[in-house]
Amino acid sequence: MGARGDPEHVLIVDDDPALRAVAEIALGELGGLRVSVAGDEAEARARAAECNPDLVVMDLVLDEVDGRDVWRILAARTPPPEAVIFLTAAGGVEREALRAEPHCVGVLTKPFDPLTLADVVRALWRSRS
Amino acid sequence: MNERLDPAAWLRLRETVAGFVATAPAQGSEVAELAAQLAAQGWQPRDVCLRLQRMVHRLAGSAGSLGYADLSLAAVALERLIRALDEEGGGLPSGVVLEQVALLAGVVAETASALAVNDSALCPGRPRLACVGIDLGAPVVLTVGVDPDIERALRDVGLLALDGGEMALEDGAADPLPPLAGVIVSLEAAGDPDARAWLKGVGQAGIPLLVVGGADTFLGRVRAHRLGADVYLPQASAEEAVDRLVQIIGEGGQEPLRVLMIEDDPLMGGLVSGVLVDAGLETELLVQPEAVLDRLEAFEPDVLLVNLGLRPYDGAEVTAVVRGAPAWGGVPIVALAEPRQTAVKRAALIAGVDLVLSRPVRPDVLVTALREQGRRGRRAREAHRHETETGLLTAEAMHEQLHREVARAQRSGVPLAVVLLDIDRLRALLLTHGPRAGGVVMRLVALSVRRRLRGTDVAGRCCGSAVAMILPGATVTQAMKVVDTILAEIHASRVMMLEGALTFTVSAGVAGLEGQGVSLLDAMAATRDLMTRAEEALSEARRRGGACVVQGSLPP
Repeated sequence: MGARGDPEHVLIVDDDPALRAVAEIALGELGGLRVSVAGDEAEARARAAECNPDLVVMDLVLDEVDGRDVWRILAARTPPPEAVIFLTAAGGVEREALRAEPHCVGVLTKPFDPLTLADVVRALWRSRS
Repeated sequence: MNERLDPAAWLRLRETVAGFVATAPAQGSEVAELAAQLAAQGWQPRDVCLRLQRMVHRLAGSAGSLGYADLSLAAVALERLIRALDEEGGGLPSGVVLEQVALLAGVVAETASALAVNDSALCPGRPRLACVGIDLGAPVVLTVGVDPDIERALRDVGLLALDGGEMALEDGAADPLPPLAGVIVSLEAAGDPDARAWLKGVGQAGIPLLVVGGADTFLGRVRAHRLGADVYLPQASAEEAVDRLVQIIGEGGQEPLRVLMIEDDPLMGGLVSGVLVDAGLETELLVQPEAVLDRLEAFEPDVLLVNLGLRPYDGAEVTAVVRGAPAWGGVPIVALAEPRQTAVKRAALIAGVDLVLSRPVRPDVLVTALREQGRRGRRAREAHRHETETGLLTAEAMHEQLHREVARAQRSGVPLAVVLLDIDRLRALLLTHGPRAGGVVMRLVALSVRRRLRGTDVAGRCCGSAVAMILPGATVTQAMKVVDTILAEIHASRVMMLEGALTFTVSAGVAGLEGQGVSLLDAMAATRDLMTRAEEALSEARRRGGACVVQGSLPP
């Protein structure tokens, strides 16, 4: 579906239903990407099994769980997603530490602007080596 | 956003926003209750702190992404403060910090309880202005009730004029503003109450507002001020008005406003500077007041934010020192004070503080105050550097600028061209047409020069009646072309004076810094050499009879 150089399927993992919904609209309807969403680790695994995402957009704080741990679980599956983008709060955990995570192509700060989210995600996806 | 969505997705977006709005008041009041409980218990126990942190984090993220900027600003500030308290660990937070927590929690609760779906920037209740979401390919200037000449003059300088009168005024104040480069409105059209409300929004959004027309009276000026005009030009020509708007847009768009914050409490300093940076203000935190004069020179702030309760030098003393420094006597100063310290506040105002805000302070109030004061500071500094008559930099400011640009060109190796222009046979012209002609001719030259400036170029007075242009990044050949255009325009113009038409000519000399060799001289010597070569070229142009441009010799 997507234009050349777009991810085939994006999985958004966020525990906040409002944020999940607006990210889905921003990347899907507005951005023209194929998108699935999940609210927790179990759901993320189930969705990943269904859609084999090549890009994951992962909230760093999922209720009691660290988003990095969930990413590592997803990254270990076959086929593995190619890249992850972390969503974090302004001035939260050091961005440098997050960037050092395997296959992390970028860190986005919340609140994000739904009007530009798809452009930013695309640019980060294309920046992967 | 709605223009670009299909109806089903638009409905989903509205439902998402509505879902958030339905749950936000409960979340907001829970945040306020928990914050009050923690403050009463000396910021213990830790698991409750973490719970509060998570709740605020969630609220901050979703509120902002769903188009509620005010709620997000307060929640992000609260989150930052809670995290800082958590990282401090142990020890009872100071009363000032707890007060700030209580205020922010209160703002979050209050704002969350007042949310409405139609207030979200993503789902406005009324239709937006027509230009939202459409790429018009050029910066848009909205005009309301102005002369068609102004619209033509806007197009001449590459701005898109959009007659927004009907749309903007009918829809009223609740509309979100489109991405505008500026607004020009006539004083007559702005009389309507709806228009006034809408224009207030223009000012708050930081969009440059130029008011034209009306009689140049005290009342007219007061009305323009009430509308929040950046500039009021009652009797300007269309070109002058557009020229001035371009100047304001340039000032506003070039760099973010700079705030120098003097605060010895790192916790509060960190919180406040975080809020300011999020709001797009470049902020430097200074914890040692004794370094203020050095930082003023290095950082060149547009506004100062001072805590009046500093130790060992209080805010009033710091203010007095700043006010005594020749170059910084006019910089706006905003002070933060404890609510009941009347004597301290009075001392600060006497020392020259412009505005005192009592703690705890709402982040949106602080940001607005600093933006307004900062804009005033920047304008005042710019005005100080510019001649009122011609809008050119003063000779002194021009000299400083030239030195800076030469040093920059030497560092970067990017070429730099300098142009000197002067009016031919000025003395004869003044004898024939009288002294008033000098001013008229000078303004014409200045206008023609300023219209050719790109974003990084500057033009200013040089010695006597000469005008200098600095063109960073331009080669001498490129500068020669610019001068040819200016000369052609000036020589084609006719000035109508009482005693008949006046024509005059201008000569120019161009010199540049290009290639190697230049960096062997120090910046001061290179500046002198550059100006000497430009002056020699100008003299040569005069020797050839004027009305021409001459290229100067190459650098040594």
